[in-house]
Amino acid sequence: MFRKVIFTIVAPVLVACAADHQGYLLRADTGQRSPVVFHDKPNGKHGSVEATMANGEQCRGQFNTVPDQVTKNWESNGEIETEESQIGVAILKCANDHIVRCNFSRAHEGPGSGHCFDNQGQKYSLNF
Amino acid sequence: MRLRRALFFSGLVFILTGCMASQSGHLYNMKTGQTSQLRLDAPEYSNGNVKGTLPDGASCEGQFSEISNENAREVTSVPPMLTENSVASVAVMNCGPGKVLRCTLARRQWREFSYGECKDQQGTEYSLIF
Repeated sequence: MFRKVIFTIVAPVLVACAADHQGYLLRADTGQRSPVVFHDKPNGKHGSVEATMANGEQCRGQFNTVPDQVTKNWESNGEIETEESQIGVAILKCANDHIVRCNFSRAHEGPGSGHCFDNQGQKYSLNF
Repeated sequence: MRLRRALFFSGLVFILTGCMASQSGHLYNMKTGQTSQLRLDAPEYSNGNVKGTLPDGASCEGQFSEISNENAREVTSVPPMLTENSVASVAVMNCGPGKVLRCTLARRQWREFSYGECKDQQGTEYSLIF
């Protein structure tokens, strides 16, 4: 009974809080678009990211953030109450030691944008 | 009674693991794409030990300590993205004869690390993500 109650309460909360954000990488020199998906953990601070490059190469990695603009609770020593926006880093590992690194900013658990580069000298714009 | 006992043990485990926490991050050589891992002890504190390997296999050991964002920008040639609501730390590791790895790390106040940038004495750059 107890297990059922916990599952009924916790499961929908976790599902509701974990979010996916779809977007794309735009290669600077050719304009090719590659789909990218950010999978947020329920706390909305970090998660996993995956992309399929224009040549079909599959890339997977992690992203993590720090707060940028925040709302503070001044009744509680100025502790951060809400993160209005975040900046973050994502690193994706593709095939044959090809890696793509992105710097981005985003609304908390929301849309964002940034720029990326890889270890093959390519530059990308990021939107999600 | 059973529920109370379960809650007590879950709380105990949570406290114990919280006190002994360490955090692992992936270190990426931004030239070769090779990866390895670094482990930081007590990441939520202002200083602690850090251990790990370079992607080329060299073992590294050192300490990290918190510094102001302003100083982090001054002492690092490639600082990670920092904001006024993030906290910066510097980690310096000895990775064997003539090899020192220096990292600047970003995190939330009283929380674990988020990401960082590192450079060795030869000028090779590394990205770190937790």
